[in-house]
Amino acid sequence: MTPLVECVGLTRHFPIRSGVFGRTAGVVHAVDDVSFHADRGETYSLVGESGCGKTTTGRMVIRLEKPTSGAMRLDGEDVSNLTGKALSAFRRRVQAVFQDPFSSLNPRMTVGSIVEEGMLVHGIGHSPSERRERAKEILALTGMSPDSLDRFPHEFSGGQRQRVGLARALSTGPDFIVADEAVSALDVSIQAQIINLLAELREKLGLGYLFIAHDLAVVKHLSDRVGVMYLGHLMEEAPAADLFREPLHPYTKALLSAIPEPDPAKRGKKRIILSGDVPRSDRPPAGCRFHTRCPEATDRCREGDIPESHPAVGRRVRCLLYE
Amino acid sequence: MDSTKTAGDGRSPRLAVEGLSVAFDQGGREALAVEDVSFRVERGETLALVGESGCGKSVTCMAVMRLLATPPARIVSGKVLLSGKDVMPLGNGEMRRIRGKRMAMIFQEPMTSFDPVYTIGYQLVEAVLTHEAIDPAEAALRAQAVMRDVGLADPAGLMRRYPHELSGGMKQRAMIAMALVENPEIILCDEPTTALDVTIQAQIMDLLAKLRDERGVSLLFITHNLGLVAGFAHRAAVMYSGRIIETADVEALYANPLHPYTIGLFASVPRLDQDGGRLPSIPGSVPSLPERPVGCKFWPRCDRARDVCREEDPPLEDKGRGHFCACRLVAREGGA
Ligand SMILES: Nc1ncnc2c1ncn2[C@@H]1O[C@H](COP(=O)(O)OP(=O)(O)O)[C@@H](O)[C@H]1O
Ligand SMILES: Nc1ncnc2c1ncn2[C@@H]1O[C@H](COP(=O)(O)OP(=O)(O)O)[C@@H](O)[C@H]1O
Ligand code: SF4
Ligand SMILES: [Mg+2]
Ligand SMILES: [Mg+2]
Repeated sequence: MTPLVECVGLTRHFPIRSGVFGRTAGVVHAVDDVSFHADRGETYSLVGESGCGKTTTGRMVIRLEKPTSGAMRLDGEDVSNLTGKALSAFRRRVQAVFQDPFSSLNPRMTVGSIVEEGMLVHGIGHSPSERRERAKEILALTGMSPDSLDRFPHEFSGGQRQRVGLARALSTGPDFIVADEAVSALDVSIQAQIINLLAELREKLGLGYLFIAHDLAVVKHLSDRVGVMYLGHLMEEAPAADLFREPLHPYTKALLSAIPEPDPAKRGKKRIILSGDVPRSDRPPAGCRFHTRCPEATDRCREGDIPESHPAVGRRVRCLLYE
Repeated sequence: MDSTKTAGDGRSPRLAVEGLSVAFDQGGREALAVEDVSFRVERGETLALVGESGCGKSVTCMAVMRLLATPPARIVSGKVLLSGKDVMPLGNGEMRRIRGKRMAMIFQEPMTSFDPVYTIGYQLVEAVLTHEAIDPAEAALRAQAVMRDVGLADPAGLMRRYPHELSGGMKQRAMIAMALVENPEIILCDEPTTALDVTIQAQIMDLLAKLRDERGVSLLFITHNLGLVAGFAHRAAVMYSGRIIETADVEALYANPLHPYTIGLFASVPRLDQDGGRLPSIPGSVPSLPERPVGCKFWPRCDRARDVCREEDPPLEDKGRGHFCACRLVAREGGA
């Protein structure tokens, strides 16, 4: 069966220009050879520390960023060359919500017109009153009362603004939503409300999500499958339950072990503490990109391509330990 | 004796804050951002101050350090006892001699502590020379020793580097070095790892735990991360809308949270040791400063609220064995 969204070998390099002539002084390997797919009603999450390429991947999925190579497909069709009507249809079906609801909402537009804008662009609804009615329904779906229609974003709290951001994304009737750190800036008590809302909308509307986050407990809560990125590479992918029960890649192990858990009884727990920092993405290490910090690294890890292995059904890992 | 030099009587807590209230001017009307906050931190102890954004953690911390800009802030009342001696009446000059010497602070953003135009070495040496009349060469050696203590490789080379040349994790270490260089009695840490990635956060927390255990330095550790509190603090004080609403030993607090807000907060945290499903959440949101209600600040979001909660702000009382809670509906241990 054709997946709803499929990324094949997605790669994005950013040239670094310097000097007055703008010579290319290097290349940032933001995303290198990343492949994954997501189905209807499914949440695929990308995790990893800042700078590993999650946002760039998300931007290629919504076609805000052109891949240097590789393809992004919707229902099996490569979207990179879409134009005109076909591109507009794509935009209607694939929407996004971002971390900072405030900066992504126009402060001079009412909540109602923010939600109606997408409909207008995509020719949804026959009249202003029909669009307004629909905006009201969608806002209700995201837990906003009808009187929010004529108010402005600054009149709302962070959690409510994120609801408005979601309503805007839903206004075109999408099949797939890229949520980039959509709950990361929210306080826990509010974050829980938005996580519940995302899950609820997924059930009700059969939405698929690409959920980008760095909080692994949130990811575990919401995901069906998870991809772990490090320095532009997808290091491991697994069904969420398997990944958290038995992480395979040394980086995933370290990442999970570093999470402070809200349980004083786990205080004595032995942690894997990685040494050093993530290397710069314009000079990624040869061989395994994690080898400079990996507790298991051997000489073979420091050179050549590290192939992907399939140690179990539905699991992929890029590490020589699983060759 | 000069108050800035007293080491204290050895019995008083390293830091005791009593009845601290801080107001901000809200267009002609004053509103209390921090209200009647009291706590103490013993020698070698780590007290966590936890709560969601806007609850008053940073204002409390800055008031204790006397780093709040006044105006717009005004310290309405309160004592800040450093090893038993109230430093609140001291002037700015005297406070400058205490800050960095007996009490230090580390921030979420390391550049709060550093000036971008001077080298790390210059700034560390200056920090020593501000408080001690010693030879600059000796101060430089001290600076390098403390850099080694915080796990910075090649301290001699780093002395000549500018802050922006360091990675995020290294900057955080350099800031900790700056806080430690005079061997203070207490360090106030305001979300020191919030901006860091989780593997770097683990490194920094490991370092702080090691320094605390080796040096017996007391810590006031401010965070919104309940995982860090559980793993690191001895006691915790939970803040909501400017007040401390619950305080207890960390074990007791997590095993048996008493205040409806604390109960709701703990329940709404997604956990690695639980599977998905609907997360319990607290309805509504934290009121902004001018919108804080009369009575218990939590009543509009509390499913147990009664008339009495809307009328009077409940006092923080001992509900048994040193577990304090500011909720009238929570009974004292053993009845009544
Ligand atoms: N427009 C750009 N130009 C140059 N480099 C970029 C650009 N966008 C992202 N990068 C770099 O690509 C890498 C991946 O960034 P990003 O996708 O934002 O990571 P994440 O979302 O995981 O934090 C980083 O090193 C970042 O600095
Ligand atoms: N300079 C200021 N002017 C007005 N209000 C302020 C100022 N600084 C902080 N506040 C208010 O004081 C309250 C407590 O803030 P803060 O201590 O920074 O919270 P926290 O650190 O817990 O997130 C908030 O309601 C905030 O809006
Ligand atoms: S390939 Fe080698 S360096 Fe990379 S994660 Fe596996 S063991 Fe570590
Ligand atoms: Mg990002
Ligand atoms: Mg703060």
